[in-house]
Amino acid sequence: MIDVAFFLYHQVAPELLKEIETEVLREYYNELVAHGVVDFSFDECQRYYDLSKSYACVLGMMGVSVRGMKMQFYKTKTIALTPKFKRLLNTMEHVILPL
Amino acid sequence: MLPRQYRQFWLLLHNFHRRLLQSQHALLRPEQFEIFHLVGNDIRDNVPPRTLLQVMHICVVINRQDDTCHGLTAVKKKISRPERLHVVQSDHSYNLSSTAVRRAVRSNASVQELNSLVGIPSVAEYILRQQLWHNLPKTPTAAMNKNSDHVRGEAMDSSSSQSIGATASTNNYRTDRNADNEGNNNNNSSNNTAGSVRSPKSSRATNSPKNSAPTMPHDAEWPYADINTVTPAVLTHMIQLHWPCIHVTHFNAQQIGKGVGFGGKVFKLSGIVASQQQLPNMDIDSADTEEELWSSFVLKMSRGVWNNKKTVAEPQFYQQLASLVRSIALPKCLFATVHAQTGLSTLLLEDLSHLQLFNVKKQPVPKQVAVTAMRAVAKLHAEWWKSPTLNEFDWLPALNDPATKEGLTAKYAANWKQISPHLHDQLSEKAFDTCATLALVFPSVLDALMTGPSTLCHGDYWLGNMLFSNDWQAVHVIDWQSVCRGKREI
Repeated sequence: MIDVAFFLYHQVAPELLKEIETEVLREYYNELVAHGVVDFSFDECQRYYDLSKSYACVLGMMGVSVRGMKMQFYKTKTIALTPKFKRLLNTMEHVILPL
Repeated sequence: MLPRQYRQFWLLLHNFHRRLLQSQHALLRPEQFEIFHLVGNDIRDNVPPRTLLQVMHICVVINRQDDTCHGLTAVKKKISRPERLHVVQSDHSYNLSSTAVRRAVRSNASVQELNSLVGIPSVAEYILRQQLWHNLPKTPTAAMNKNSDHVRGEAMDSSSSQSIGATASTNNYRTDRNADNEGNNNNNSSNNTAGSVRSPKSSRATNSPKNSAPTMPHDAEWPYADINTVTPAVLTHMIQLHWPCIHVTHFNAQQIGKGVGFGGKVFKLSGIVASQQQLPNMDIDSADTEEELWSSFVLKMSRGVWNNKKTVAEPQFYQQLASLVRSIALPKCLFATVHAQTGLSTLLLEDLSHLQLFNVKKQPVPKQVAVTAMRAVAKLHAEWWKSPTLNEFDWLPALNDPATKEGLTAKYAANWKQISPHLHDQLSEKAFDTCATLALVFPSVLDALMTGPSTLCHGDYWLGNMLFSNDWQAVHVIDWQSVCRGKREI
């Protein structure tokens, strides 16, 4: 599921993702079943997909240039996330973490 | 006449016999050699034993007690001279083509210990002497994709039933081969000139016939870390399993990827000029024996370090796993090698530049592209769903490997600590809290993910690693350096 979450959260615009997320996930699930996967419900698929969002978030953070942001702060006294990364981090409000 | 799909294999054998005859074994005749072939699926799918026995004296197949062995045993009962076919069934817990022999060899097993797995003393002795499963092969190994044939273990001198004479040394082979090639260059006129590079100004003729000295790098120099070491002779060597009769005399190398996402360089090899060696005087139509030489290749040279972490997953993937992946399109790999100590690796791959990248910077991803990508990866996941075969690949990292866990968590936490004080007004309160918590609980997230069904994951599944058909309905997936799996299945 990390491949699914990584792709959707890093590549698809949030507005569109909000619109098509369930449908695309269902496409993925149907394809799994069509190719022989059994004993795996769509609810489980959804659960692991939700968990994988945080994985996508962490991988997104790997690409953050802290040095670049510091330079930005030095010049502008503020740090502005790129729209894409800002959207990615904001999607985390829907993620329930295992505590 | 041999069926078409077996002729290339025949040519490989012929080449082997020829170079053997050119070396110290000049007094031996080809029919005095045994070939042993330590692969299962290839025997079953590509080179059935009946065909093998048409072209070799003795065939020894070693495999687990699975359908392949059962099938071969049935064949043995039906053929006219069953003594020529040896089917050695290993214990089911072993896979002689990969795991058991490799482990035994790497743990410095004695001939006796290895023979307890192999069952034929001469074969065990041969494996050890030729270092077939040592970290750095004596001869470069090639990972062939589906529909390709393998010859692993090459051939043995069977003049004695128990002791196997040495085969031609690697250096002898290379010298002989190149000497042979040079001799053929003047006689063969079937040159194959491939297409030109995309940007002639930026490309350079890395090698030309005049500087393509007929010397192959010493074994210790494999794998190559420098494009300048890749001469036409080296490229010839890399493609010889696929095109055994082709001798490359010239090519251009153009760097097409640099420091993008992984520690290494990617080159497009094109403008290939090659000659075709004389085919053996057999009942094989030369025009029908080989696929036409591709006009270009992709050469990927990696430092083996990515995100400050040593990674050899991609060459290992192409060497051991790619040929088993049937569900998702990926570039064919003609040659893959990795240095166990340094992690330096070289891959020679199919050039897929005729396919298209989706440029997410120019336009948002449409639903069709997302659906194509999801369907493709679903097939991959389904193919390897709960597959115990994944356990056999020790190098394949799990999602929650301690090193991965610690590395990702530490980097995330460090970056979050640096930037979070400036993000209160850019993130919702809930998102901010979740991101902050994630720095503490990410190891638990990975553990929770590992409770799910195990499968093979690409690990870096984004549009930069996908090449689409014109209608966006089909996709090839490249860059497998982050390939990983879930939990181990029992």
